[in-house]
Amino acid sequence: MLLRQTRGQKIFSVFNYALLTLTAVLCLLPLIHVIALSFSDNAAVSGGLVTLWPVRFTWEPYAYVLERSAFWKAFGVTLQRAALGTAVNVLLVILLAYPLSMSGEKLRARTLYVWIFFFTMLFNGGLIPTYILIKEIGIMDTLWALVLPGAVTVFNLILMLNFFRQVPEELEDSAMIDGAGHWRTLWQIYVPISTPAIATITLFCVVGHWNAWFDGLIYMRDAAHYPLQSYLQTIVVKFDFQTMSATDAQRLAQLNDRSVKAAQMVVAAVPILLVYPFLQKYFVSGIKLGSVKG
Amino acid sequence: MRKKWALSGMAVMMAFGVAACSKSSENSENSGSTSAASSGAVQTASSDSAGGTPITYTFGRNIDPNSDPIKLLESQTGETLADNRWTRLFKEKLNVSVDYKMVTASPTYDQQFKLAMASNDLPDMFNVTSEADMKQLMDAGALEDLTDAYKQYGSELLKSIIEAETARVFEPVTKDGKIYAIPLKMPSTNGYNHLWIREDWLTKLGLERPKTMDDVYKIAKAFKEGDPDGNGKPDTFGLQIDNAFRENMKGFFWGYGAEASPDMWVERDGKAVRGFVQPEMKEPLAMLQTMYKEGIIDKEFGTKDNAKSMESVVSGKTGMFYGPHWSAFTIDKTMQNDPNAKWIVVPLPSKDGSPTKVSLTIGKDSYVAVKKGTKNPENLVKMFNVYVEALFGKDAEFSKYYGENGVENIWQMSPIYTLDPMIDLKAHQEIKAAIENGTTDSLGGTAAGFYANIKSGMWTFEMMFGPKDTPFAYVDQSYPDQIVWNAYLGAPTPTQITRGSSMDELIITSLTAIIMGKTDADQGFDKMVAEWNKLGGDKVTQEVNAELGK
Amino acid sequence: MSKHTPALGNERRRSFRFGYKTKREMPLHFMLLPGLVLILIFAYIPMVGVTIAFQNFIPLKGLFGGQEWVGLDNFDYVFSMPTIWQVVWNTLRIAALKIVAGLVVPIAFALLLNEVRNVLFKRTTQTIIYFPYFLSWIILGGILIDILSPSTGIVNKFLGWLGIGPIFFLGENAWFPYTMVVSDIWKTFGFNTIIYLAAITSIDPSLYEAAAADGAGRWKQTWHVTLPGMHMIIVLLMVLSLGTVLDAGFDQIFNLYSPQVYESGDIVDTMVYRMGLQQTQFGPSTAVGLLKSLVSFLLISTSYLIAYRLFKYRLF
Repeated sequence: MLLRQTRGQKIFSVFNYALLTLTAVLCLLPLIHVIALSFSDNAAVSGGLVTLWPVRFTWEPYAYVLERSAFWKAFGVTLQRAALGTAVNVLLVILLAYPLSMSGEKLRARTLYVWIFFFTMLFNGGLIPTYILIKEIGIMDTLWALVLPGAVTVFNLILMLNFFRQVPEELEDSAMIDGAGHWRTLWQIYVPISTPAIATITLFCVVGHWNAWFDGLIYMRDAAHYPLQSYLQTIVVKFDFQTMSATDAQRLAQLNDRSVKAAQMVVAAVPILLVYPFLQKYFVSGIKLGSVKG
Repeated sequence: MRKKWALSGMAVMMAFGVAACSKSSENSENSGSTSAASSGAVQTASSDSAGGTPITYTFGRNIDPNSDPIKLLESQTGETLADNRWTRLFKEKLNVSVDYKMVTASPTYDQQFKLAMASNDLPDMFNVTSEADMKQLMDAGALEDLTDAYKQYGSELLKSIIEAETARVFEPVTKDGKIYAIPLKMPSTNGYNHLWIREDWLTKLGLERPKTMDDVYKIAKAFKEGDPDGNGKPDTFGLQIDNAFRENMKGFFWGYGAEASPDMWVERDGKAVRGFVQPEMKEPLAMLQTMYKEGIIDKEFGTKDNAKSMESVVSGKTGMFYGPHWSAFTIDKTMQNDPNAKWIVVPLPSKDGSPTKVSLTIGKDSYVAVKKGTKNPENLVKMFNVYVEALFGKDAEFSKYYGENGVENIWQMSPIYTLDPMIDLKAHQEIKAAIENGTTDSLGGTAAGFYANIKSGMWTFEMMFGPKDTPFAYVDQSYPDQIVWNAYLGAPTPTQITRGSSMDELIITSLTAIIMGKTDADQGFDKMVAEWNKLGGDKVTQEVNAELGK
Repeated sequence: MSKHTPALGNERRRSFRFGYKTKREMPLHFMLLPGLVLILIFAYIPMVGVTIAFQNFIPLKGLFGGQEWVGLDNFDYVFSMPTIWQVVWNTLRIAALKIVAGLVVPIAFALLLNEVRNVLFKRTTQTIIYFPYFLSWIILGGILIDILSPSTGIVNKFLGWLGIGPIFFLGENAWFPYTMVVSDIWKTFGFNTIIYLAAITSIDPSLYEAAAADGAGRWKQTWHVTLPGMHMIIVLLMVLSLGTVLDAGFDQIFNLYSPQVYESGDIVDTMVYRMGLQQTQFGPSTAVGLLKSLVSFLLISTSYLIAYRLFKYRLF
């Protein structure tokens, strides 16, 4: 900016930085507090001494969590689910968005198709019928029950479809003139230049699968097959003596269940923490192009 | 060290496991005609031998396969929930195999179960955790009739355990005189609610042990105002209370008469009536209101669950509470904070000092039923026979099947289970006698395990099962003479199903409001009763009495 | 708006050969096939299940096996429930507050962030504020339960220093709905801020220059250039959010509520859940779900239509 800032602008600027910093700190504090709890010893936690820094640092809550094979089992289920589920989601979104981004000229049934998909965003049959269906096609208690019912993510489809529409038409036409069919146009023209959008959608799908919990509780009839968030739901949110075994009880005499909960939450959040900067650089442009069209 | 854990674990699991499960049964109400299966014709189960054609049953089981004991057993011996000493025993003796189709713990199990019912996809045999589900299953004709199987094949030992306290245990699973499920009978003594007091505080303040409810009030007041922890600050409470006070301090209400048993059905003029709407509730509520006003009880109790609320007991800020015998595990830590702390359990005080009536519901975990059309349903009864024989029979291998090497609840890893209802009380009696006679070396079974723990210095076991000032000393003194059984054990009636939750919300909020002094303990209570009746309380009472044939 | 206006050659190509179009379209249909099959199976087939709403549905009898048809009885029953209107009101209130706050807060932050010249500061702030968006309600719920506890939570400890409280954020009807709204904003505002910020950066800089040349200061520029430049995205998000006015956030509320705040916090979805999976009243539960779907359908269609009429905006 070449213009010299006026006095008013300077005041605003100071105020603005202060406000934004304060907000960012407020957003972060609860998370830092929980991390601090997870590294503090029992007496400090129950004495209410922990605020933003671990008091009497200990690895014990993590040792306790990491020793639990059930936690890792659930972690593994979630990893598989996120990998398989995201692959299916993204592939389907690409395959669907391409034809639906065509004009009515090039795909005459486009409007009908769009409504078929859009309608499912507004209307569903409910829990019981879906459950019966899952049972009838024999995927109950398998990974597929967590992947297939939500395979078509309509919201992401809309995002992708809008992104594809911005692909310059000349690119497509020249490819067509070169004799490329729709398949080759899609894979060789559309997909490569849509990396930001695909990365964004991938991020959404990974996060969605990582965070899903309700379907796991419903479709996994053996609790040993729960994905991570379902497993956490049964212990973190509703923690009581009923789900606690004797060894738990004894051990928690030395540990503090708040620290243990905190440790589990931190461990469960770490993978998201890892994926997030990796995909972040595409994210902003992906969002921008997918949703903002003039 | 390991050995010690083995034995301690046993009792802990009994405490926790049993408590966990019996809790659910106490909160619900049941139906079923009174006819029940009397223990008439007893035939010895001669067919309990191997050699039958091999058969596999799919099973629905309310247990968490991720729980530590199961994982521990897996890492020690390679046994799993699906394949362990129990399942092998059933295979060997009956040629029966078990295939778990649905295995997760409540409340998810209850969800799964309802979905399985809705989609008509039940396993061959399964836990039924609520009387309401039981009734639906019986009404829909979805279950095998087990009457003959139980009468004909049930061993005498099995019958003696399941019907030990009363044959009414079959009420919720009976329709038109037929039995449709076997209850997983558990010790009813878990339903006791004891009064725990810091004796060191009593001594310090020069107070006597309480005999009457007025004594309880005086002690609570002194604990609040007399600075019992001696830190010079008024930071103590007189009596612990939490948001589930109806259940968690029912012993307090019992002090005002058996009619004041909040969550029970009690007898009044030959009819069954609901405990929490009886006028006997007014006095204890007024007492709690006074305590609230005077700051004797925690003003935050409405938002604290039991675990949270007990923190102040453990940290030495509250010196008196009502709780089950396994509270010992929670308050064990008090001594870490205050080495001089000395806990005792006293006989429940009453309004006039006479023996308090203890209202119990029949202890059981859940029921096991067999889906209609399943082959040889009598195999379920035979499995029960094998089970009780292995634990309590002549040639029982108690610790192998109950818990050993640090794995405390092997007894729960069988698809079906039941425990001798007197198991804890007997252990206490034997330990007490053995200490008096100096014969502690010849103790057997549970008593031996508990005693070994006491000897090894485990305070919790001494506190629970020791000879004097302990929960079981009081059980010994009061059971069964002072017991009043829940008057209705059947399923929720139609009105309860449709209106139950809003009626329950009314009661919770009204009772809490009374204690907090927002409404009057007399008129406020009457108003609550009137509203409850209007919401359907009258109708529920009628329906319950109709079920009972009164 | 639609860039696929027919290219010049298309007219000629179309008359090239009869059936050419159909043949040309075939690969497109094939691409749609897998998604179509999945959605037919997993979304459309279960829709026959809405029939449960008109049955006295008894579990164990199967969906069609001899269930008794009761017409609109389940709906009558639902509307005779003493709590139904309270639940509807709770839902609308919480959802409306979330929609409004979810619109205002991120827009405000996008505008403020847009004024920041320090790129590192800008990026760091963005990254921090949208992190909670990626955590599940299971984890955020666990965190909230801990920090909001009246006795041990850090928030109440802090309020205590200021001489306030303790406040039972999750346990008192006066606070619960607002706690839901604020915590929901905490989770989502950073993410939405990014979207609005993206919209701002795509505004043609020449518009600002023109405004500056006309003597407009920063405030005026914001008011006359930035906000109008964002209207598309604002409308889009409003259209989407209006359809969720009956949602109010099951994941969040289910993991944070308790019977003592049913009065202010029980919403349609949690009620449907309890009626179905706890009380086995599948008929009435499905009836409520069906009603909710119908209303949502009407709302989203209407708002979509409005957006199209007013702004010529097409969602897809």
